[in-house]
Order: sequence, then C-alpha cells, then structure tokens
Amino acid sequence: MFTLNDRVVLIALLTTASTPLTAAPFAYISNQLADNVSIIDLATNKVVNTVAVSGKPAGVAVSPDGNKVYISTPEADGFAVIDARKQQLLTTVKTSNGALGITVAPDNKRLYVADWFKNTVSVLDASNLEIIKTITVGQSPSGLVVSPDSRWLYVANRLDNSVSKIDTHSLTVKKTVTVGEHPFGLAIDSTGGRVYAVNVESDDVTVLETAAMKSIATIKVGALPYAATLALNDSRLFVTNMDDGTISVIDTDTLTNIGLIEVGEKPEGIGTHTDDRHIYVANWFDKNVSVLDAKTLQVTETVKTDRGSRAFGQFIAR
Amino acid sequence: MKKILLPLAATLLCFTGLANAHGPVRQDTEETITINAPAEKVWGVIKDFGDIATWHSEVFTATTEGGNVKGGKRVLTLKDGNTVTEELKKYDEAGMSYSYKITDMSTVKTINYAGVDEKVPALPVANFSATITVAPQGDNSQVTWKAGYYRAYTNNNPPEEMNEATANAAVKAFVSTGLIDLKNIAEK
Repeated sequence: MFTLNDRVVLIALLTTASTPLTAAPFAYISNQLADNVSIIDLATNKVVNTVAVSGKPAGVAVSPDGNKVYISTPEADGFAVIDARKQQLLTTVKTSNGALGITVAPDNKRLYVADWFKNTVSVLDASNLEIIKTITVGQSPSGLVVSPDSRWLYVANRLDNSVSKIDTHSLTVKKTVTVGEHPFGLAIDSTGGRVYAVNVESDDVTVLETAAMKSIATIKVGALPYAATLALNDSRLFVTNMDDGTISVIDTDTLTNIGLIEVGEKPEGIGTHTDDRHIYVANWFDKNVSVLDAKTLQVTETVKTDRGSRAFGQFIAR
Repeated sequence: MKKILLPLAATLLCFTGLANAHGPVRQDTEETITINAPAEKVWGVIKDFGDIATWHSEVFTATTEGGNVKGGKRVLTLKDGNTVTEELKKYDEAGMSYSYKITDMSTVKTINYAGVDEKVPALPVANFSATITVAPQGDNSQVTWKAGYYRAYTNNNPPEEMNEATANAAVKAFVSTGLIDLKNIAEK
C-alpha cells in the first residue's frame, strides 16, 4: 500500500531516472555547417539535444567514461569540450589552426589532436587539457586511433600515403608504413592487433598488422571511402563510401567484401553502438544519420540531424 | 628575402598539386523552385544528362558520351567559353533524380598568390558533386538542386578568388539561374 507521500517519492525517483543526465549510450554528431552537435539517444534513436559549437565542428571523441565529448573545431583553432551529463558546452581549448582528427586514450589520461596544416599531433593531459608535447608526423594527419591498452597511437598521414605508429610513453614515432592513396579514417580492433586504414583516393582499405606494422591486405571498396568501424566482435568492417552513398561490408576473417548497403548521400563518419551490433552513419548531404543492423545489413532507421553532418572519429562511447 | 620565401613556396606547391583535397570544411548549396507544370513534364526537360544546354542559359553547348547511366559524361561549354566536365554517379528514372560530379574544368585565369601560381577553375570549387530531383506536388512540381563542394584553394588562408564566399556565390548563381530557366521552359 502506497501512501500519498510514497507515491510522490516514487514518481520523483522515476522522473530522475528518465532524465537524460545519465552517461552512455549516446551518439554525438558534429554538424559542421550548422555549427552544432546533435546528441542522439541510442535507446530511442531520437535527437534529445543539440549543443551549439562554433568553429565548424568536425572531429569527435567521447571519453571512455562517457562524461566528456571532445569536438575538433578547425575554424576555431582547437576543440570544444561538452559535458556529456549536462549536455552543455563546458569549455574550448586552442591548439593550432588545422585541428581535425581527435581521440581520447582508453585509459582516459590523454587526448590527441591532429593538425591538418601543421603536420603535427598535439598530446594533451585529459585532466587539465594542457599540451604535454607536439609531435611532428607526416603530411596532413587525419584519423587517429589508440590501442586498447593506451600504449600506441596510430595516425593516418593523408598526403604521405602512410600510417605512423607512435609510442605513447616516449611520444615519438616508432614506425611509419606506406598504405594506399590518401588514408583518412582509421579503425582498430579490440585486441589492438589490427588497424584498418581507409584510403580516399585509391578507393580501398589497407589492413595493417600492428605488431610489425605490416600491410597484410588491401581491400577494394566504393568511391571516395572516408572512415570505418568494426562490429559483431570485430568480425565485420563497415566503410563509408562518400561518392557512392554506400557502406561496404567486409568480412575481417576472409578480408573480402560481403555486402553493400545504400545509405544517404555523402556518408562520412561511422560508429558502432555499445551493443556491438548497430552502426551509425552520418550522411553529410542528407542532414541525417542512418542506423544499420550489422547482422542483417539493413537500414533500420534514419535520424534527422543538421547541415553538414560529419562525425569524424569515435562519436559513441565505447 | 628570396631565401626565406623559396621553401614556403615549395611547401605550398605540394598542396596545390592535389586533385581532391579535403580541407576541413565542405560547403553546400541547396535551391528549390516550384514549377507550375506536372513532374513528368519537368523531368522530361532535364532527364537527358547530356542535354543541359537546351535548358540552362549559362551553358552554351554540351557534348555527351555514355548516356543516362553511371559513368556517363557531359562536357559543358559555358557562355564565357570555359569548360566543365561532369560524370553521372547515380541515375534514378523512377525517382526523377540524378547525381553527378565535376571531373575536370578549364582554367579561367592564373593568379599569383603567396608566391605561387594558382589556377582559378571555371567554377571556383574543388571536389564538386550535385543532385537534381523533381518531386510531384499535385499537378505541379518542386525541383531541388543541391551541391556539395570545397573552395578552390585547398591550403590555409585562401585568396579572394578561391575562397568559400566566392565558391558559394558561383554555385548559387549557376544553380538558381538553371532552376529559373527550367521553370520558364516547363511552364510554357
């Protein structure tokens, strides 16, 4: 038997639980031409909030605890930090004037920001957002990924057609390997054993074995591929083909194409839901996000966002 | 002074050699027009990819090869004599829509900027693609023409002739003019 007071308390508890002040899972979609970020609740696939971020927001990185979202802002010479719980802009940080690729280490200790024009990667302390070191890499560094143990950072050097492996202890380049033409997005598997480099100009994906930094395969995909993500226990790789408006599906065991999914126009950023099954694709031209089922290879939903949806990087907390 | 400028010029030259650079911000233009004619009639005017010169007043002539299928090409000669080569990426007869991209352009002029000769293309953009769609609206129709592209200058700090404002103005002018021309022809 509830008394009136009990009911009030119960309602209050339920209300608290249903407010968006919880952490993951959300997708944070940078809308570059609208100067904002759409926050999609992955449980309902609805945009629950839109946060204004000036400076043409492009790259996205979500802290492993889901508390913070870092958004690179190339025209504001750095990045913005969103408080993920409050869904508000927390602060902005200046790095340099071509900030694009951005990522957070899985141990949540460091933040890495690549500079497209300066050919550098800035290493920041995630706790105080201060630059520890700026590492010179190849030309036009783009995609960044960190190994699951936070020990290695991988950088796609777009104009050098290479990927560099950086030692995160010494903060020096350990090895650089040639990939296809103009690598942009990178994806790393959950063991850290493989990195997939998406080559925009050669329309293919280079598969790198990270221990020796050796290319073990090159897989043809669609026209002007941009980025990639893994799903279903790393068994499938999904690649956005900007010019075709499609997603190439690659079996990571046989390293062959097993499907092609039509999405919107100019698909760019791509990420995997925490359920490891649903894939989110930002369609730049269509101002929306396609949701795919990695098992059935069907588009299950389309979520409206805003102008210039880009979402380059890891835009869903792992 | 010369010694200082030379390495800089060499660095810039590397950037200008790119065919398809992806600077941080791609631009867009989207224009829509309502036409007082059935969608089938409007589509009939624009459906042949190579026939743009018959309805767009800025296009003087167009040659074509390959037809209305993916990979089909058209070369537009604009009124000012400059040329733009475009390739079909998608053709959707039922949806009354097609998408294409610019694969080549003639040079309007060469400007010297930051110590480097820069070629200003016929349409001052880079990596341009567009989609035109006819949608029925009762007995009338609505045509949407949208384009995505980068400014022509792919390095940092562009000259005025190759910046975003110039790119946006040129695309908007070309698209708007074409839609008004199309309306005039289809409503006849």
